[in-house]
Amino acid sequence: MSLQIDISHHHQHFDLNLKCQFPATGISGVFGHSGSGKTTLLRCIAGLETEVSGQINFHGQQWLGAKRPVIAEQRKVGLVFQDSRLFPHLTVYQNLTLAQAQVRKPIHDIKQLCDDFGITALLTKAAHSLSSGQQQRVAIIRSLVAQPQLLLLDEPLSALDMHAKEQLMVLIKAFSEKHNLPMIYVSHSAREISQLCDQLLMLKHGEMIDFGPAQPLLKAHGYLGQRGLISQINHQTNTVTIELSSEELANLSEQTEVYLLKHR
Amino acid sequence: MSADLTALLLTLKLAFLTTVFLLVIGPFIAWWLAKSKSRLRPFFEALVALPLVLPPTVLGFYLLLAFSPNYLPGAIWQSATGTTLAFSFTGLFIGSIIYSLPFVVQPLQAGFVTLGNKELEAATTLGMSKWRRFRYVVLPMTKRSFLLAAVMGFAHTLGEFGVVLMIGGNIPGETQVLAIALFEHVEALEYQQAHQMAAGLLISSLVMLLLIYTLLQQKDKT
Repeated sequence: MSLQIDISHHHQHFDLNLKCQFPATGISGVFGHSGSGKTTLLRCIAGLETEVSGQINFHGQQWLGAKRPVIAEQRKVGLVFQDSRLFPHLTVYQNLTLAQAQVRKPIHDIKQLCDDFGITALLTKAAHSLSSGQQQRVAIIRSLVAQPQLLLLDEPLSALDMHAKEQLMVLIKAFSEKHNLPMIYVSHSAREISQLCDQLLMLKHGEMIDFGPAQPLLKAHGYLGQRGLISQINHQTNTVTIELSSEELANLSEQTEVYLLKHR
Repeated sequence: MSADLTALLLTLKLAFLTTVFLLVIGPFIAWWLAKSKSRLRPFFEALVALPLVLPPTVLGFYLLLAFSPNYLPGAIWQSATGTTLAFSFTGLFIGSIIYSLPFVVQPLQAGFVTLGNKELEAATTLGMSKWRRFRYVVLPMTKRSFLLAAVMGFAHTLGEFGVVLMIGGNIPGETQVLAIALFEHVEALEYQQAHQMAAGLLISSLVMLLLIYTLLQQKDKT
């Protein structure tokens, strides 16, 4: 039981040619720099890209490769977009109930999830009035209550501060484990990938450069430092981005000279 | 019932039916024009917009020919119903649909273009069918365009003259609409009745446009 992908897709800036197999449990990561094809891959899996050739199979269902591909709304694949895409004409609560209305037998308690994700106070607010970080929390819950059989997350935490990221990563991982919901998590933050993902696909210019267990792969490619700090290396600009929590920064600054190359 | 009141009721009936029909088929045409990548799109866009620039008498003339039993559409209609399309309310209704088409399609098309695909893609990944995406996302997010389309379609049909005169003639209770009745009063030098009718059309058109722009302004503020 897994998600098997063997696809080709012509994108404006690159060709995505990929053959790999994601496990149908836990959280798998997709890691790569901007323009490596991460988002396009998720769109192909979700069925949002139409001109894709090859095969996509999930749990014995052939989404792509048969005479007619399974259309996006029938794949039961949730997608949390990087820009949240809440319905701006609805309140937060209406966004969530509309998503849940697509399910015959809802199993998730919206109010409980809102409590867990810390957005209960926002329920009556108009979706368009929220900050981007708040919108992203709502977008994650909205995807969860629609009860997908596979959840794709496209850099869902990029609009959040470090503390909120840590908090949400715990919640996402716990949800995946509790409900046995497989997820594919796209990020260009090695820190997030390292904390969340079991398996990892590394992409570059639309091609797979490596695939395997996340931690060893990040280490092998130099993204996991000796002290466990996670860095993002940009070979084009010769810069290294280090994401540190305030506690880590406080510990470091006692002994180490820190050059802040880039503040994110 | 006076002839003027009959003309008023007939005009309202024609405008109402035309608007309702165009609000049913207009969204499909507008959606295709807004989203299609077909090479034929500019051709169909031009075709839909044609009544905006074409003299109404030109459109009326070709419709009159098409409605005649000597040509295929008119012949089919006559063999199916035993009546002629020309100089009938049904013919007038078909002519109004064609003549008012761009006034309904273009605001809708503009609304659909502005809407973009983002929210629709999100709805798709939540498992929403095409109909549900239209009902819960497209319709509420483009309701201003629908409102504008409805008012423009209705108001434009109210004031129709050239096409009506060509294909409908001037049959009281059947094809005599307000604009034609007004013309008849002027020809008969009945200026008082003409004044009443012209002022009524002017005020009702102004009120409708005022209403739509006030509503749009209020929505802008919210």
